[in-house]
Amino acid sequence: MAGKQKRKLEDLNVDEFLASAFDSDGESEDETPKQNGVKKKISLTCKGKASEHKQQLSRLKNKDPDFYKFLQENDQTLLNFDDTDSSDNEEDNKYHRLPSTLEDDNDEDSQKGSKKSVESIKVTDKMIEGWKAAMKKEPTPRIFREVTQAFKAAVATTKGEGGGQCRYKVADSSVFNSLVLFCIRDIYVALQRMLNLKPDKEQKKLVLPSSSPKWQKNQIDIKMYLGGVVQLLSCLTEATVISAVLRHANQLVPYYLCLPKQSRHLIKQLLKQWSTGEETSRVLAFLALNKISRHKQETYLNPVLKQMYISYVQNCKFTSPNALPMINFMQRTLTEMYSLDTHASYQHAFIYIRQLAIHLRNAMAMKKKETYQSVYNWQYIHCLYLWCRVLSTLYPSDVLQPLIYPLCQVIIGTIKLVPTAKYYPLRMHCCRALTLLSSSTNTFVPVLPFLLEIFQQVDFNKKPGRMSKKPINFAVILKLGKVNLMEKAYKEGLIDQLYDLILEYFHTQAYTIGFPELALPTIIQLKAFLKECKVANYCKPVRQLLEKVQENSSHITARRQKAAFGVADATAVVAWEKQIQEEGTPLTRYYTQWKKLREKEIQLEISGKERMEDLDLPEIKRKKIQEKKAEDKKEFKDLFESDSESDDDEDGGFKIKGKPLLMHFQSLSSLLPDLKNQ
Amino acid sequence: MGPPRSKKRRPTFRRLLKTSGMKLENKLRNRQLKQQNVAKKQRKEQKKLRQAVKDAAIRTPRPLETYRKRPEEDEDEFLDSLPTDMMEDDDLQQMTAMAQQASFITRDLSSCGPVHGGKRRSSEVVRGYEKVPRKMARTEEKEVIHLLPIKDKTGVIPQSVERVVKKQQENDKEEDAAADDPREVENEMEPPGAVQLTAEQMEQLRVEKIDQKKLLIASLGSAVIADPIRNIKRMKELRGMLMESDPCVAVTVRKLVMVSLMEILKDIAPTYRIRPLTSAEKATKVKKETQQLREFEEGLVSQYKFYLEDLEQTIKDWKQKKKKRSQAVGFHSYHSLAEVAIRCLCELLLALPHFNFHNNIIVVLVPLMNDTSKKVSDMCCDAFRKLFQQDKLGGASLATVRVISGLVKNLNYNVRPEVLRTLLSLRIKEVEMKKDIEATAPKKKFMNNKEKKKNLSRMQRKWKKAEEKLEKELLEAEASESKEKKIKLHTETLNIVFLIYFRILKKAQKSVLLPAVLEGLANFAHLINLEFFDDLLNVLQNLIQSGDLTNRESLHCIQTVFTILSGQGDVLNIDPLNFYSQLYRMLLQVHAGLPNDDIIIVLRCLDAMLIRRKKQVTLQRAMAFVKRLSTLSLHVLPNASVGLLAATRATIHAFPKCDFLLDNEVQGSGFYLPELDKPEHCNAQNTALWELHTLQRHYHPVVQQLAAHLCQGAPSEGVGALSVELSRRFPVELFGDYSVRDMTFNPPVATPPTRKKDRFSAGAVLLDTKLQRQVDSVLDAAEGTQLDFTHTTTQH
Repeated sequence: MAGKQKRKLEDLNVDEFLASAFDSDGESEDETPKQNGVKKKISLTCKGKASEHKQQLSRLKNKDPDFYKFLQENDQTLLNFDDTDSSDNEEDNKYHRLPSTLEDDNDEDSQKGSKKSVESIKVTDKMIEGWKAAMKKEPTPRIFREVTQAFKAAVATTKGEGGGQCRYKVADSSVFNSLVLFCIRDIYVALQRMLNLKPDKEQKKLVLPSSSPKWQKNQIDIKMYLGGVVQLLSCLTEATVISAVLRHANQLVPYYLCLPKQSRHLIKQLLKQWSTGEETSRVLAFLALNKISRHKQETYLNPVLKQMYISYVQNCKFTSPNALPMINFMQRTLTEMYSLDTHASYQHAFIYIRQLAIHLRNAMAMKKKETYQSVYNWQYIHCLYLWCRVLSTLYPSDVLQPLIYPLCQVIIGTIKLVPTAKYYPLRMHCCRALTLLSSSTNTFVPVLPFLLEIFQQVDFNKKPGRMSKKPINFAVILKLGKVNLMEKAYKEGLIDQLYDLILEYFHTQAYTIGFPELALPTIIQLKAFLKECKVANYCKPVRQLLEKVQENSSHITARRQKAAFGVADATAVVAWEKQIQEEGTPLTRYYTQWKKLREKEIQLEISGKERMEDLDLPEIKRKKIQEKKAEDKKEFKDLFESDSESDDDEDGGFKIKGKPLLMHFQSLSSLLPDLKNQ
Repeated sequence: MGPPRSKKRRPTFRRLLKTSGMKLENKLRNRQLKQQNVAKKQRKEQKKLRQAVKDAAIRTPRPLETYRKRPEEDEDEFLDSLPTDMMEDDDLQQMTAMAQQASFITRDLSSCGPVHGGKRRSSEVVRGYEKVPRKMARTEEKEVIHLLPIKDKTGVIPQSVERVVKKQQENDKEEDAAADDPREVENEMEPPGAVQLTAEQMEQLRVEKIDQKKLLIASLGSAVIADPIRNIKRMKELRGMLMESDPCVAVTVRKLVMVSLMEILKDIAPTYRIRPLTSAEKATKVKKETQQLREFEEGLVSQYKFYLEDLEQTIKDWKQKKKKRSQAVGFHSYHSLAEVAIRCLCELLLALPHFNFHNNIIVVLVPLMNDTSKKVSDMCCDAFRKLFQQDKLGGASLATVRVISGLVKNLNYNVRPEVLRTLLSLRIKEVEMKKDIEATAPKKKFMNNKEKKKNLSRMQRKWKKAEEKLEKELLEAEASESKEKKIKLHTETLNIVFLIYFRILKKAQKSVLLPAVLEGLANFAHLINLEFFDDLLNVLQNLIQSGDLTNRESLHCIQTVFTILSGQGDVLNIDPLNFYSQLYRMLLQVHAGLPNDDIIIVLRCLDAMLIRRKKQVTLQRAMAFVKRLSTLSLHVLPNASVGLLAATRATIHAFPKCDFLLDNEVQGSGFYLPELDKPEHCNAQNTALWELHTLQRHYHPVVQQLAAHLCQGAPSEGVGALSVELSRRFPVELFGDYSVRDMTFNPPVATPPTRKKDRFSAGAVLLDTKLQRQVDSVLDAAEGTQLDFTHTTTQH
């Protein structure tokens, strides 16, 4: 810290040097830097020497009467320089929480003494109007400094400090409001104008403000302002307001990129918003994070990815119909982030998939309940799903391709860990993930055996033990209770799920030349089921499924019989498959029809669910708490411990409590299982 | 045992020249110190011994009195907070209670100690733990070894190293045993003499006593080991401690004695069986040493016998107590005592298979394999499994198998399947298959004198004589007789094993033992005698056709059948068509779920059915199998896929005509009927292995390789040939190599092939269209004009 302080002082010294340089030949310079130089000169070299200041001011008055007049009108405080000039210096120190160090304590102490006795200036609406007008006209560093000071004071009030050490005071909430509004609306444009920055024509590359010649002189003020924005962000609670500030922060990203410390703080806040905020704020936070990582990959991409993944894991402990869209959003956005640099993503994915594999291996070795709880939880499943999505979205990628194999093996191992009826829902999630991965990466994964096994294991003829009032939502559960296993709803749900999953899987393979062989065990199994099962309700969908699969199977068989090439001719096979895919098969046609219907059904279900929500929620919560909380916490703490150790100080601010996300997300489409949109 | 003997020789003159004065001085000092230590130790030991003997003499005559001081059972619970003055009342009560059970007490005094077995307090457990190591630490002795000094600025710094004297093996063992059962240490309570002792003091007293006993055991044991021939009598003394009667330490001491005796016996037993002397031998006069040895042997055998009897008695006591629940007060400590006894017997079973009474041990242990206590039965089963594996001669195995056979029969096949599973570890590789073959084998016959005289010249005769002599010697050196004997034993063993199996197949087909039997049959099928074949085939056929078997059991049946047929059974002219169809049908019932591990049996069957019997298999059948195997490999885990594809490859190599399956041309009439279960009639020649293209997209790299290789028609050399590590391995081995049971990645995960970056996101456009839509909608949304920041300020 002392080092930093020193560095800052050194900065100042440079400034000072520049200032004096400007001062000496400032005549030829235009007005702005000169003022700046003067001010610096005043503030830094002549502290506490009132007479000298007065002399300088009077000199200024002589040299540039207009400006002096302007000062008199607009900024009385500057003229009362002897108590205020040091304040920005002081403020900066305070912002960085630095103790007054030896280098300048003599000056500071005397300043402080004098300062405390003087009242801060109250910001009024009129002042704000004045600033606004001035900014519109011609943004100058001086006005910007004023506004920054005021903004800082305003932000300080949110911390409850009352801005005792600021030059200004913001007491009135309406003043606060208009000040902040003014800032987030006009400052960006003003800054751009002030630094004379023009947006790049091609929109490709971000124009960094540090490229401006005026950057050096304004750096301190901008730094302070950016710090204020982050601070403001940290203490806001209302969604609309947060979004507004985030928008502003988004505009300011280039500025942040020039200031490493400020951007670290910003990233911290953005991550918090991204993982726990409201929909709009999440999106905006993501955009800002994406921008930051994209434009300064070498410094920010890796830490941001790591922190995002950790936040993701922390925030997907609980899965409910409400939380699902959030998790989905996080998955999608994380995928976007991983697409920035596939080599970095390979490293991340490799480590985290290996971590998942290690957990699974331990669970396999121990064969105890506690250990397989470390695998059979939502966090684990969502992580699997995340990687499936990443690998499927980023296909084809030579870099990430090798990871498909370990991921498949981990998912299949997860299915096989405890293959009992209790964990059928978990198995369905895994199968869904595998289907997604397999279809979008053109990889073959044996998924069907795990689904068909259910037909063998469950006795569908057995009369259900009890009736149940509502259907089981397989999307938000991992395991079934003993009671559930007896219910009629369970078997109905199971048939539905099996139908969906088998159809989806076959849909992804419908055009392949090996389809008849792939379908053979399914056909045999479904026939056997129809022979045994006496319940008409279950038989109907199964029969339909069987018909469609058989139809597709015979279609492919007939087509390939006519083919003029042999098995060895790989290129011809690829061409053939492509042709079949374009032509469409009976199954694909049926699937598109079915999907439309199914979506409608799900929408109906959701609207029905919303009404039921109040009934639904407490139950889900209770389940979560008793089942997962404790071991999840423990489990995933050590899961990531090794990784987060290196930046512990950073983490301090990131610890986000895993509170339930009570948000209302109305977009229906996001509730649908994502496969259907692929 | 004496202190470690110094190995350093007296410095020779030559050495003296080489070594520095300092080193020599150190050496001398070390030696002196050591001698002092030795003297001290000896004195100490003597003292202890005397003390121990005195103690034992004092204590033994008054066992009954000890009961008076023993606290009430419940009292154990409150031992810590226990006010000691209350004890007397309770003691009185207890005494009267005990008096009523006098018969029990007087009958077996020693067993009364552990009466409080079940009760103990966890806090005391901790304390017990704490105390044990402290005692150990105290007994450790350190020896200072002086090293060469180091010289630095400050001057010469002498160096020395402390060496912890290794304690004797016995002591360690005993300490281990004590540490193993800390509860035991807590179990028996209560000192004899002191009336007014606090619980803590009593505990301390007990620990001290145990320590004394340990020392006694150690000194006796080391005496025996140091010179078994002279000190065999000490064993008797030691064995006497098995009857330890002091109730507060009885269980612990007994266990310690059992374990130490076991270790001692393992050490001192000779590597030959000791036979009783004949009267003639006794009568003859022998040398003094021989006499001494004879005495030792006699003593050893009798001590060993008594020891075994004691162990057996302990186990019997436990068994009987179990039945008489009413008296089972100290059931727990009986149980633990018996467990230790069984452990000792198991160790002896493995360590001394050549020694006397081995059969007796087997007879005791075999019924315990079927014990209801899982721990006991597992222990015994493990021991026998190991015995089978390490038994090179076969005698012990034969005895065991005999006893097992009797057990299975007596219990009317109600035994645990684990008992039969142990038989799988029998080390039987060859038996006398056909006596006639051996009989007809040309036996090298030595000519008798007459022939020689007739046929050979004198010179030749001389040569011949020398030659014969040499051959005879060579034969002896080869010890061919023992080999013959071994084969004989093995044959007999195997006959009994098959007797067990066949009896179960005939009489108890529904029992839980059937899977174990089928597995065993499959395992030993190549050794089954020809004369059983017909019967066995019939039985297996019926079993499979009954449909009661699970997939796995049926597969075992098939494996058995084909192992028989591919061995000596190839002389039989049977076409087991039924079994082929059976396997063909079952192939589709195996999948990646639970039955994935059955694939290994499938692979074994395939090897026997298609590769080894390729002369008897039609092309039709082979092609049907190839087709179905490749179909199946779509539905199993990667290791099974690799195995199946390798089997397919082998089949294609065995039947080169299978390359029809790579052409897309119709041969003859009819369509391929994939669902038909008859390999001969499914028209497999009219299909092609299209699924290989799906397999080439498999997520597992090795499956991809194999599928691509098969697509090329499985060439053994050239472009499409397989790498050596894949082509040289058998399908069964490959199945094991790529197993995912422990979540290892074989082959390892590849690193990215290029340093080239993939470009996905161009500019600000996102990959996910839905996400892009969401983002756009957020960005487009008009910013609310009425933003209200007020609450942020007022909040604070």
